[in-house]
This record gives sequence, structure tokens and C-alpha cells, in this order.
Amino acid sequence: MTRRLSIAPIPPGALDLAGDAVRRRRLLQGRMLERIERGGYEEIIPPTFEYAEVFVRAGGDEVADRLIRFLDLDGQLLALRYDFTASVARLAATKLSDRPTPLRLSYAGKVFRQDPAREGRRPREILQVGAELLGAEGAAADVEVVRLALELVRCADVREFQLNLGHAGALAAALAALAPDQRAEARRLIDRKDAAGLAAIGGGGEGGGALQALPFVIGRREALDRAARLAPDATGAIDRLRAIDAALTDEERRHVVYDFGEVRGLDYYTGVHFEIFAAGAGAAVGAGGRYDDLVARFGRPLPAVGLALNLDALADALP
Amino acid sequence: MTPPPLTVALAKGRLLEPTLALLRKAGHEPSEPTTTRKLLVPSSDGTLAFLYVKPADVPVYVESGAADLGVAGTDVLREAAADVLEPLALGFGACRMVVASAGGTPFPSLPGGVTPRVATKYPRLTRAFFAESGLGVEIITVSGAVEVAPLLNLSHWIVDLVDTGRTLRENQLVERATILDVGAVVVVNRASHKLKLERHQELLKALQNAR
Repeated sequence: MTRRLSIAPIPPGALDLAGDAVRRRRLLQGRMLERIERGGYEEIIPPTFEYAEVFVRAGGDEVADRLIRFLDLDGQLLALRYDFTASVARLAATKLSDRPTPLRLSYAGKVFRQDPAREGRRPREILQVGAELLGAEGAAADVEVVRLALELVRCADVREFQLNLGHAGALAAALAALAPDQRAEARRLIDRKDAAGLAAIGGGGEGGGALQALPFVIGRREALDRAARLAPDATGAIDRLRAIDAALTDEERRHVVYDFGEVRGLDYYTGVHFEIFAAGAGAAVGAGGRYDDLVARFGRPLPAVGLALNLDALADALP
Repeated sequence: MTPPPLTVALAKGRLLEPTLALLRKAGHEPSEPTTTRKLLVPSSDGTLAFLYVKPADVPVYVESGAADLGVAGTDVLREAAADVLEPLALGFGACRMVVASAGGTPFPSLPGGVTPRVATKYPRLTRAFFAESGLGVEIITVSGAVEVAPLLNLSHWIVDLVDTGRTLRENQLVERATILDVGAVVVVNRASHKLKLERHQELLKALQNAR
């Protein structure tokens, strides 16, 4: 007799978790939230759905296709929570607008994303833990968030991990010198690490040299010196990274790599940004950075820096 | 302690011979002939392990991290919309992905407003191309012998790779439009590239010099 599978279908990309998969997620989440709370962060529970426009306003047009959207009773377009940051920014500008700064907020829960090109073959929900530090623009705030990210990953007992730290300002001048369509192409090539393709685009005006070479500068502290020689007009960005490097402990520095080749999220980040990689996971297990323009889009100019970790990836990383 | 080898996914089929020749020139030889039935074949110096898979599976292995890197055609990469690094084009495996039809079958529209049927191994790219062109078509996904589809009335048009165009001519097919220029590229898993940077850089440099 064949089993009737159609009696209880599950949509593509929806996750059923049980047993150790759940125990491990809850264990990691508990440890992480405890660490975040010790850092003075207040946990919030934002709504599971918002007007779709809120996520697009925060994340840009490319987010629109990736939302799981549906209609409200009055026909307005809603979306499941694409990220927590949009809701945090909205909250900071509205309900929490009278709170003194710096404002430290944290969260844990699912985000919902889909990639139309993948037709739901990948999970469409991800369990995240994260924190946002609002109203602080100095290097000390960047250091606080980078340090928190490192400690949270350490909570997950992964064998080996690395935080790749970059700065949105490093490539800004070189990219700005390109025509808009060339700029999009250059970013795509940088994202794929295609040096030959990038060389074929050429151009970049005065920043041309930086455009060709800077995206491939990756390394420890000495990478900052290399970057400074290649991109004299990116001093501000590099000085900020130097200040962070100086503030980190030797142990923390062992896990930090300076990386000028990350162009994802450049429409979003305005300062430092990072991705975290762990042995046994095929994609980044966490990301974060500074987005000083974001909260202002909801009516309250407020610098901000934050991070989010992918608990599913960390819990499932091969031992 | 020697680190574990980097796993390299290689596409069986038309790209395999030139890929192995390039690896050999770069100093990386499989320790066993390709006829082996082993899944993972170490290189003679043990720094790499080769994995022979179907071409369309290379992006899958590399994107997930099951393989650290691989060699694949841009046809299967774009079809899979794989999120991987593409640091190096290898200069071989060049061909084009085209729309073709029988000489007597018109393009881009059929008489009487008939909705064209298009047979292909690349349904996603085919759908994207016709959607972009504003042409409504029905797509028929097949896994091989695409060029016979019009002869057997399975489809009006096909989307497939052409190299010299001989197969098309032998099946009385005419090229109508180019969708994509295809070539072999090295693909690298994003996380692996970050965590094993020096080893990837070394290997890419050796491959670049051997091209």
C-alpha cells in the first residue's frame, strides 16, 4: 500500500523542526540572549508582519521580490518579517522615540525570505538572534557590536570562525566615478571576485586603480596599510577600521580579517559592515554593520549599528 | 599536520578533458584514471580531491560547500542561479545558448497566433529570455536530445547550446537568437574562499598561469 502523502502537505521552504534540531537551537538562543542582555540590551518582540513597504523602505527595491507578501483585509499589501532591523528602526522612530540614546535593543525569532530564482527550494524561514545599538556613531559602538558578534558565535561552540570586516566607504569614491549601469556591473563582478571582468570595465576615473585592486585586499592588520596605499581617498574608512583594530584584544583579532571585497548590502550600510563564517557552514552564519541613514527613513535621524546571527546555520554547522 | 584536501567538483562530459589538462599543467594530477568508480579521487600530492559529477550538479555541490570549488559552464551556473564566486574564466568550453527552429518554422511568432512550444534543458533561462522579450511560450523541459524535438513535433522551437552548429544543421535547424555566451569558469564556495583564502589564492594563481 502506498502512503498517502497529500493528506498533509507542507509548502516548499517551510521548516518542520523537532528533537535535537530544536534542543540545539533553543540552547544556543538561550545562551546568546543571556549574553546580549548582560550587555545592556533590551529584548523587543516586533510584529511578525508589517506593511510590505516598511521592509522595502529599509532594505531597498531588491528586497521587494524576496518578501513573502499577502493582502490585508482592506487590500493593503503586507509581508512577513523580512528582517528585524526594519521593525527596530520603525520602533525607534515611533513608539520608542522618547527613549534616551544610546538605545540598545535585541531580538530573537524567525525572518521570512524567498528567492524567486530558487522557487522555494531553499528554506524560506530563518531563525535569527540579533542586537542593534542606536544613537551612537563612534568607533566604540562599532567595537561593541563586533565584540558582541564574536562572543555570540563563540556561544555556538563552532570549531573555527572568522569575521570579515569591511567598510562601505572604502569603495564608495571609485564606484561613484562610474556611470550607474557600469556601477551595477562592477558590483556584480566584485561580488563574484571576477578580476578579469572588472579589468575589462576599466574606468573609474581617478579612483580607477582602487576599483581594480581594492576589492581583492583581504588580510590582517597589514591589509589596512595596503588598502590605504591603493585608495588615498578612503582614509576615513580605513582610519575607522584601524581604530577598531586597535581596540580589539589579541584573542579577538585572531578571528577578524579585513576584507575590502564585500559589496553586498552597500545600499544599506553606511560604515563598517561584516560577515561571519564558520567551519562546517557553506554560507555566512551572521552579518552586521552600521546603517546611519536607516532610522531617519522612519522619521528620526539616528546613527545605528547592529548584527544578526543565523541560528539555523550555526546549529546545523558540521562539528 | 597537513590540512584536509580542497574538494574540487569536476563536470563530467565535454568540459572534463580540457579541465583535467589544465589541472595537470597547474601541477595537479588525479592519482587514478578518470574511469575509477571512486567518488573522491585524491590528487597525487594529496592537496586536492576530485569529485566527478554531472555538469548541472557542480553549482549545487559548490554552493552548499560540499565541494570547496569546481569547474562549470556558465550555462548550468546561470540556470541554477548559483550564489558562488566566479574568479576565473578558463577560456575553453566556449559555445552559445541559442533559440533555434526548423527552417520552415517562423520565429518569433507562429501563424494563426499559435502559442509556440519550446523544448530545452534550461527552463529557467528560457522562461526568462521569452518573458523579457514579451513572447508568450510554452516550455517543455527535456533532459537530452533536444535537437530532435522539432522533428518529432514535440516542440516548435528549441533552446540549446551550439558550438560549431553542425548538430543544428544535421537536424535541419536554424539559429534564431542568442540567449547567452557560454564558457567554462572556476567557481568557488563563498565561505570556503573566506576561511581557506591562501589555499584558494594559490590554486587560482596556478590555474591562471596554466591557462
